Amino acid sequence: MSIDDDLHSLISHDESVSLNRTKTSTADAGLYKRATNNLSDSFSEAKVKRLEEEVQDLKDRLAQLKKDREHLDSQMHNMNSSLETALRDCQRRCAEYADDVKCLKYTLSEKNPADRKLLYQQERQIEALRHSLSERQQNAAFSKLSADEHHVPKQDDIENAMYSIHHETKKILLSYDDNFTARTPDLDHEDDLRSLFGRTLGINPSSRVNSETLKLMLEKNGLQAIICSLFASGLCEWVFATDFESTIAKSSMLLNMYRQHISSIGKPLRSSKGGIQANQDLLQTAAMP
Amino acid sequence: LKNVDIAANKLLFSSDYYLNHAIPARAKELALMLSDALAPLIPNTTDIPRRSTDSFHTWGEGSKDSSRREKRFIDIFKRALRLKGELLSSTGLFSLVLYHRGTYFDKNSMIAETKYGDSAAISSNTERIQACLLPAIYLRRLPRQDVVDYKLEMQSECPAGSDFFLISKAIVVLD
Repeated sequence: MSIDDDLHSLISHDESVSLNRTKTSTADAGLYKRATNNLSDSFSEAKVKRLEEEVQDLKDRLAQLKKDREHLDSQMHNMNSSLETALRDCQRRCAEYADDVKCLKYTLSEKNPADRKLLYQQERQIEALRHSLSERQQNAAFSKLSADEHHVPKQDDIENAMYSIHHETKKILLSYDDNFTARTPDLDHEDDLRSLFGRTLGINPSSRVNSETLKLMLEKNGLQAIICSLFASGLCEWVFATDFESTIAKSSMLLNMYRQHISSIGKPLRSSKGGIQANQDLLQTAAMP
Repeated sequence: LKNVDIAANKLLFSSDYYLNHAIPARAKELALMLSDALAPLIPNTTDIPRRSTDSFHTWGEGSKDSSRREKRFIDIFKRALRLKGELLSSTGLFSLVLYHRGTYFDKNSMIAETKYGDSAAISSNTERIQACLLPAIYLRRLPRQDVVDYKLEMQSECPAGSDFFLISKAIVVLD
C-alpha cells in the first residue's frame, strides 16, 4: 500500500465518523475538526520518516547487489579464462594422444595380422597418393608453360652442387702423401688419360699431346691440381657430354617415334596428330620385311 | 608436346629406379674407369693389372685409404649425374665451359685457386690459367624448343654474345 492510500483511508474513516456526529450534535463540530487535523499531521510525519528510511534501506540494498553482481562478473571472467586455458590444453593433449593411439594401433595390430596388413595397406595408399599428387603437380607445372617460358633449377642449387663436387675432388689426395709429385705418363698407351689431357689442354682428344707441354703442366701444377683438373675433364667427357641417360629407359620403338615427331615439328601441333603420325610410322616400319 | 617430353624426363630422373639403381651403378663404373685412367700419374702406382675388378688398389695406398677414395670417387660421380638429371629435366639449354690451359683469367666467370687448393690473390688481369678445376655453367636465354637432348653442350671458351648468362663460375689455377 502506498503512502497516499494510507492517508486517504484514514481521512475517509474520520469523515464517516464526523458525518455520524453531525447528525447528533453540531456543537461538537469545531472541536472535532481541530483534533482531526492534529492527528493527521503527526501521523503523516512518522509515516514519511519511516518511508524515507525504507527508501534509504532499499538504496543500500541496491548498492550491495550491484557490488555483488560486479564480484560475480569478475569471478565469471576468471572462470572463463581458466576454462579457455584448460580447453587449449585439452586440445593439445588430444593431438598428442592421437599420435599415441596411432602407435598403439600399430602395436595392437602386431598381434592381429589382419589389422597389421590393413594398416600397412592404408599407409601404402597414402604414400602412393602423395607421390601421385606430386607427379601431377609437376606435370601441371610443365603443361602450363608457354613456348618462351623457362622452368629451370635454382641458380643457387646448381652452384652449390658444382662447388660440393669441387670440394670433394680436392679431398681425394688428402690421405696420399706423395709430396705433390706427379709421374709423367706415357700417353701413347693411355687412351683415356690422353683424352682427358686433351680436353684440359684444349686439343683434339685423338691428337698427340706434346711431351714438353705435358711435362711443363705437370711441373707447374703438382699432383693435386692435376688430379682435380683431370677429374673435371672426366666429368665433362663421361657425364655431361654423353647420352648415357638415353639408355636408361627401356627401348620402345613407338616412344622413339613420338620423340622423333616432336623433334621434327617446328611449330605447335595438337598431340593427337603427333600420335596418329607416330603410329602410322610404326605400322609402316613393322610391315617392312 | 615439348613440355610433355620434359615432364616425362623429369619423372624418369626423379624415379626410385634412376636415383637408387641407375645412378649408383653408372657412378661405380665411371669411378673405376677414372681411377684406372689416372693411375699412371700416381708415383706409388702398383703393378696390378689394369681393367681388373680391383682397380682402386692400383694407387699404392692401403686398403682402408683405397676404400675411402673409391667411395669418394663414386660419390662425386653420383652428384654429377644427379645434377645432370636436374639440368636435363628443365626448359633450359645449359652449356658447360671447361677453360683450357693458357686462357686469360676472367674474374667475371672464374674463381682463382692456388695449386694447393687455397684462394689465390689476383695481381693482374693478364694472368693465364694453368688448369681448370671445375667447369663454368651457362644458360641460354631462350628456352629449349626441342625434345630433351641427353648430351650437354661443351665449350672451351666463354660463349659470345648476349644469348647466354652465367649460372656457376669456373674454378681455375693461375700461372
